[in-house]
Amino acid sequence: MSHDHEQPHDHPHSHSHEPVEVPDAMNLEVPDGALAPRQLDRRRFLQSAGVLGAGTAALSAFGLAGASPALAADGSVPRSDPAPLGGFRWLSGDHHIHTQFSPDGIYRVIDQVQHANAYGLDWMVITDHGTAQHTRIGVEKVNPDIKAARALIKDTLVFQGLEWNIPAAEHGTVFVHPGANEVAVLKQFEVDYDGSGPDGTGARSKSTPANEALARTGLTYLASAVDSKRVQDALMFANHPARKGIDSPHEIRGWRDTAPSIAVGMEGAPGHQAAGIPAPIGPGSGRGYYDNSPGSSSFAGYPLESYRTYGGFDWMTSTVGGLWDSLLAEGKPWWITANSDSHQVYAETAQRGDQNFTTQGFYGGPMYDPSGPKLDNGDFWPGYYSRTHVGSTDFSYAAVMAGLRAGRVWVDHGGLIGALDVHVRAAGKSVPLGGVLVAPRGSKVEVVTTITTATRPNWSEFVPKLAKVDLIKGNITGPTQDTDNFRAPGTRVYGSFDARGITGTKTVVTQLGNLSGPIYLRMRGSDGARLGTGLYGASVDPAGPVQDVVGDADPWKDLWFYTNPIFVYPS
Amino acid sequence: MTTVVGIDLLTPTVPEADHLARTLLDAWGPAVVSVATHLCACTAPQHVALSVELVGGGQVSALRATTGPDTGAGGRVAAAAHLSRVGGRAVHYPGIERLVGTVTVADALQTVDRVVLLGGAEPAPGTPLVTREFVRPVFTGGTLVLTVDPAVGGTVVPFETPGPTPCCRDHS
Repeated sequence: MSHDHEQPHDHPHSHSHEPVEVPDAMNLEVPDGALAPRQLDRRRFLQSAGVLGAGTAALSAFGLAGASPALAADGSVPRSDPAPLGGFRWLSGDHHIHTQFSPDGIYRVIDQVQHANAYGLDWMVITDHGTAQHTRIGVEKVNPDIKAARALIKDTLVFQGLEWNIPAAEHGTVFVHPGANEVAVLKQFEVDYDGSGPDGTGARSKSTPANEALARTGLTYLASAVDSKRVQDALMFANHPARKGIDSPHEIRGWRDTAPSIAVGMEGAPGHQAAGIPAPIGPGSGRGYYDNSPGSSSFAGYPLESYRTYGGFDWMTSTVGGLWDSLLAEGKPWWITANSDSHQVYAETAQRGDQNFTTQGFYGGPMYDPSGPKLDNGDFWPGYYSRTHVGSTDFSYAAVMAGLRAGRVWVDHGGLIGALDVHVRAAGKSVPLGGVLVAPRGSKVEVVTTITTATRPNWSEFVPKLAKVDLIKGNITGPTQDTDNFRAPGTRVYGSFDARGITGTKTVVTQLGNLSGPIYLRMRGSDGARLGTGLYGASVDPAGPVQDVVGDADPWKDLWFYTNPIFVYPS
Repeated sequence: MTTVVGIDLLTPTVPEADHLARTLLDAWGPAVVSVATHLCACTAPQHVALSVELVGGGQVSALRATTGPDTGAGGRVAAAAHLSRVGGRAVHYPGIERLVGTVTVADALQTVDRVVLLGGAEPAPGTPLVTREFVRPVFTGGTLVLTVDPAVGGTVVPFETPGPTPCCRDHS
């Protein structure tokens, strides 16, 4: 331990909690005119700091007040049937999954859904690539398959989405709440805003200011589709953001600031986590297929280090004081997820059906392949390795989307831990992940972390052992003038605790001293298998994730969890 | 005495620029000392320019005849960077023929000025460097620097992967 304020408690965390009083200033349901002058001043301050109105970070606090997890209206219960923890049911999911409607996929929707269900996922998003065929055929033809899967498998929520070729940038997940217009809205979005269109020349994919603007307009379209109630809800996440260096910092900020209720985050860890398994028993590529180098569309400011993963996570997220922290230091919401990007699963024994994607818009369903397992496939099934856990008020599509938007999210690889709840407490108030806590200057701030270690084997049939947990603290410095900034010099690992030997549920309270300025806090943990000095030195991150070796990265021997942040402001 | 010529044909991608460099080498062979590619963000859309270092200066007009007239503005920038060795990814350079198979880092230092691990550390001179016959050092600060990645079995490989995974890769 790098400091001596930790107070490990052996007793299990109590699930009871006090209702949280949310200041009216932060409750956007209270109109400006109804606020007392002092409350209005506070709201203006929070808005100018980019906290309110940008998202919904503040709304996270609401869910806690008297939250009583309920079942879906039809009586369905989530696949993992989690007990409430910290006021929420933590529903595990994956927003990045491909099927036979992708040019590089093979599976039927039901193949993906029944595997995800078997591996414990409560929610999932089908995200086939935006292509000419998908725009014309797939986006419609996949829908009955998704509806059939919803009817057949009631304890996993199946969203329809697409993997957007973001104009001028990388890919992103876009998905909507199920409803009468789910296909119509996605199709219109794809026709008008996918980088593959409209003529197949790829003109929209080039890094030009006009295409960057087109991407932002696409997000505005989604926001208007929600505002006009054509769809109940819509979200966008940037996928594998650092893979090829083509998501520049100003583009990411542009998406977030243009549509803060829609563009809410990015993959903290890419999929394709089997891709680094060494040949000949694996693909022998980069973990996540991160084996690229700068190209003509890459952002010139990114260092070569950004093209690799670190402990399986994208450089933007794994670097303490790096790009993700630079976004959080602005005080604005930007959340991370972890997904499978499942196209073709490691050691698969099936082969693609017919090869008529180009003409019919999909491949035939997979067939058994007697030639043996395909060891050069680099993906895992949804739920098998990567999981995004969302604190939800009930088991419903709306609650999962609300939880994602609120940043009430933590992610893990390989089932590293069983359950997690993090709250920050000050001045008698307490907020969960993704939340904003406002407390009088000088208040004592403490982080309350309740971890349940893994009690059951993961899908590689071993029980992971958590070795250590890090608390990362950064200063909130407000909106940046340099929209291409990817450095947060005030962010560092504040402290760590040794988790070896912990079994069952433990609550650790970390005292942060008196609140003197706006800060944010986030956590991560590791199995301790591969630790090294972070990219900004030992004073920032003395024992963080290490660069994954291209061609020699066993994903089961390097497991991490990450949480999203909690913001704390002095009043 | 050598001359560095910049060529900007608005080549869209690095692999296409490598192909153009190969074409030039085939055409001009011994007259070419070194060739480098340059990511050119000076005019949209982003593209790749080339710089070619030639023995003497008399060949320049004939080289121009081979490549055709410049259409982009990046040639001058590329040539200047190559000449002062402050920028450019070297596709061809003296000694490249020795960087085949597996060599040691010490061997490679006969050809390039520095070998650095991603992140900045320097590998031990005896470390095996698996070249994959694809070694693209970069002119940086007046020197030719090869960045390497740790690889299987304690070896290192050049940072740049030959044939990296394209997006939407189809494995079947």
